[in-house]
Amino acid sequence: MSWVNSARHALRFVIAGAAVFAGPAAAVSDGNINSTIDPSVVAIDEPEYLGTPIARDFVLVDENGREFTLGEAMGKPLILLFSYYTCDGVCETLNKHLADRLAEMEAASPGRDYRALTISFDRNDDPASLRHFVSMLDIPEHLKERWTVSVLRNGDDIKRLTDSVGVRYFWSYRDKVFVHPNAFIFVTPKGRIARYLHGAAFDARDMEMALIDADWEKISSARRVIDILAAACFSYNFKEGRYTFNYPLVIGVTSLLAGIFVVAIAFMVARKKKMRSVKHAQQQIA
Amino acid sequence: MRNNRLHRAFTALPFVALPGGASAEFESIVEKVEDPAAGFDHLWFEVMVDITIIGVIFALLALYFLFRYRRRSPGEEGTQKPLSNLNIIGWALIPAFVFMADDFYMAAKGWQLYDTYRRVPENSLEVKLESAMWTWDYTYPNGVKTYNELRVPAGQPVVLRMTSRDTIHSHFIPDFRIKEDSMPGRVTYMWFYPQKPGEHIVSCAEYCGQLHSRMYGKVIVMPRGEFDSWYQAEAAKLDVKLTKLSDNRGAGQK
Amino acid sequence: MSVLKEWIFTTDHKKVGLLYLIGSMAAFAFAGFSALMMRAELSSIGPTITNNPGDYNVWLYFHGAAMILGFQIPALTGFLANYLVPLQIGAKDVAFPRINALSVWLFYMGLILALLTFVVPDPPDVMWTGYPPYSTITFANTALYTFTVLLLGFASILGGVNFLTTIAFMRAPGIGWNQLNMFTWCTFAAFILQLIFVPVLGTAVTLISLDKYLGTHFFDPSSGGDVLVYQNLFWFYSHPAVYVILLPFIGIVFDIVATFARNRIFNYKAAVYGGVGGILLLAGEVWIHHLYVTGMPDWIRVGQMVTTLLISIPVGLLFISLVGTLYKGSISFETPMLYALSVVFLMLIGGLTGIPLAIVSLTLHVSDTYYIPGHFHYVMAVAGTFAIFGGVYYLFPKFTGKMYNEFVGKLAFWITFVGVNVIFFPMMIVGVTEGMPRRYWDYAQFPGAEPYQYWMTVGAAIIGVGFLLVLFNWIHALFAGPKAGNNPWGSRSLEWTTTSPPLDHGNWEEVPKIEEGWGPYEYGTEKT
Repeated sequence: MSWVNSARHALRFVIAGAAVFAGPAAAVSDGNINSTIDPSVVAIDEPEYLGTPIARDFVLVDENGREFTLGEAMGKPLILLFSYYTCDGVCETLNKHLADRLAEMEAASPGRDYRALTISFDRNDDPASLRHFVSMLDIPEHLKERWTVSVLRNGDDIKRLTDSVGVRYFWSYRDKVFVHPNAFIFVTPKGRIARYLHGAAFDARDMEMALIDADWEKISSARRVIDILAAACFSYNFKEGRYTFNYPLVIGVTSLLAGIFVVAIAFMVARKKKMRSVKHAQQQIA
Repeated sequence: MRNNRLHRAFTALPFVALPGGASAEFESIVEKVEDPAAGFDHLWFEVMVDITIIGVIFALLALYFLFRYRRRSPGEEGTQKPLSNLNIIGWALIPAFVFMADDFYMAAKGWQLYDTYRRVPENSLEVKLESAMWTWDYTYPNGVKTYNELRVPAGQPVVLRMTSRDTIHSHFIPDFRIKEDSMPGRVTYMWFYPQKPGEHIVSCAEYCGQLHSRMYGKVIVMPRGEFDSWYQAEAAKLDVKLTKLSDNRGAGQK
Repeated sequence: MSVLKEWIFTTDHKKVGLLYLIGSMAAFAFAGFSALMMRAELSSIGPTITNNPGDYNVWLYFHGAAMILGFQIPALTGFLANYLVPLQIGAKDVAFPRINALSVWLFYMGLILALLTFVVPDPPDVMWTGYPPYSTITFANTALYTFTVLLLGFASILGGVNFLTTIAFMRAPGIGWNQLNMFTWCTFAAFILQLIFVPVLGTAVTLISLDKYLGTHFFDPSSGGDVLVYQNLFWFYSHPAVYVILLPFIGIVFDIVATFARNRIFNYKAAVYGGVGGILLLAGEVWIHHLYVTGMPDWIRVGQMVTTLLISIPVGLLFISLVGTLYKGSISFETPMLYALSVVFLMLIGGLTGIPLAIVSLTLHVSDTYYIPGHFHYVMAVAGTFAIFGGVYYLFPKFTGKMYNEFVGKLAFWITFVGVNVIFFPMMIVGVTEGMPRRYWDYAQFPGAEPYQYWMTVGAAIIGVGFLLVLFNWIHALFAGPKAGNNPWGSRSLEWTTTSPPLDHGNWEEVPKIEEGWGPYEYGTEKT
């Protein structure tokens, strides 16, 4: 019993660690121990939020000033990333990480259907800072159709949205930065939270697995079958924050093959026996 | 009086004469939402009739043979002749297709009902459930928490989003004919449609250790108004606590 | 002393078979005793004979594990297969007699481990399914469970290799595949299943113990494990295990019915290739119906609902053959026949009540209620046990050379038959109507279940009396029964052509010559 509990504590702790892994590292700089930020303040309570629905009615604005609702971005597996655009590095790093991983994924398995959405949680962000941020990111053209960087039209919506996905953040007056979790949120086509991936530690495969995780209930095409097989072979490791091999399944399948092999052996080896018994019988008849 | 209809459907079956009645009592309240529990009772009855017919045919046939072909003298032997090839194939394929037809019919019916069971109505109340040895912890959308007692308004579907703190449990509400396991690391869901005020037992259906049999609580279905006032009163209590908490935390924006 | 040594080190398939019989009957006695304890506890609400739910859970664990792994599988694929198969195919012994001896040793070691449940301080309480995370976090001794399963599994694998080769290659000259006894066919199919699927079970239970004692994370979701993989692996074996039990017992029932109706099997080829073959094909594709409420994806639940329903086709073909065998027969009603016929009716109830369980939407309510034990006791536990008892009665004159008392035999049969219906029919009703979940030590929240529970306990007591009578009848006949002839039932099957009991090594002085057109069920023709 204690074993699972401790695993659970470890889980929470590690998540908290990951949350702060890249972000506020810059924030704690003046060596004043008393004002060190406790990373668990912004940790996402994953068991609490996995599976919760996100409201569809938030209105967002992209860098061209086009308005759309969050619901319109759903319908496909969706990657959500919360950033702010006057950020001095971390947010840009994370968004670049997303761009790189997406590019890798598109190269490795072209045609995967998804949407990505970066949303600012800073109510001071406006189309101008958004455009500046986008220009800094330099998103490749082919990713632009699927990935939108945006701000919420109505600043009062910010807290409602972040609260509903478990993202907490605050302004550190001393460091002049936002302290916030560096989580990529994977949302199902119907708008429920399926998975959090933290920091910039995961690779393109982890991201693809999380996308599959977000949408593997229905078989809609032949590709889904492969997805399901892939999803069965890997499972999410909360402790390490990435996908790891599903060992018991692999071992189980191996043992099944061993069983079939034994049946085959039973027949093959025994051929000799048969010859012997046939001879024996012939001798008897003679 | 619980489960009276089902009880009758099951016990009266040997005498197939059960009338299709007894189904009107709930239907007056039912609005647009399809109630899986009613669908269950209906399909269960249908399947029971189906299997009773098959069973009775086989049993009567066997009993008739046992009587008709009993041994009359000690040296007697059976006189069945070997089947011709046509008969062999016929006696294999025809029953196989009859069974298959029945199978597919039931599979279709079952799938239809399953769809109702799994498609959560739009307007449902979503409650989070975290199970643990040996308790059910419910969290309402506004943050209100209850333990082993799920209060819901009559006339609104309720969907539970379930996970578990330790081992596998199964949230089983016999009166609503529904259960689904909750386990660590995964999120599962189930929904049910409470229509009349009343109390229903919810009991754990997956072995979870020593006190498995004592892991039970209640689903209390309240009239809409009563539920709303309870819900708001609980939320108000919660708000007091929350403001205190956020004072300490000092979250702010620039 | 030399007698003991002779039995322990025997390689004769008949002695090995009898060793299996003795061991499995011991398991049956202990497991039956724990069932009686459970029924006593459940006879009324509140603590009845123990106020420690842990005791109850241990009885329940032992009852399930010992009945399935220690009694039914060994009695059917150990005792009956060992004793009958070589005799039915005209072989002098099995293909690998020493491996056979090794398998019975492993079986006894497994049995001893299982019985240690009553001795060790923290006996396993993980149920025979051993689901994690509970089995990895309980204070109880999960290792005992793991090693019991492993030893009995190994015994089974060895038996499997042995019998597949024996049946495939050691038939007497002239016996073709279409002249095999139904029991031999069924054993053949059962061992194919056993060989393919036992390794998966072995893996699953080993991984639990690794998780619990060596700190691995195979089933720990916080470290990338998955709690559901165990259930998939477990049922991937354990559903086929149901057929490992069902096939041999329906096989022996076929043989008994054909013998006592003195009639050929109706549509033998459909029963073998459609029935047995169909089960063989479908056995590995239906395990999800044990996981209907565990949150598996919807598409796989619906898919396996269809495959599960399709199981009714092969089983239906077997049934038609079984009932058809009575047609134009010459039926007499000795004790073995009563058991065999009761299996037909028990299977009918048990099989048909399985149909709603195949339908995923109906299972959402009845899964894990008393309906489940009610159903599987009818179709597997009681039907299997009755078939085993019928088989022992049937072969009793063959392996002892003595005849049991027919009156006591019939009396005991009717007592147990009444008993099982008094216990298991109400079980199904209380499961559906009250929604009473299984594996409960107490049921204060289901007061409506109490009268049913009371009568079930009465039924259990009746069964207890019946089985004691059976045991008395056998032991009495063993010492004081009248001499039985070589072929008291007038069977045409090969096993009755030898003396009773058969010769120690070799079975026959000379293996009987198989004439053209011979068959084990060629009744109503000139005797050759």
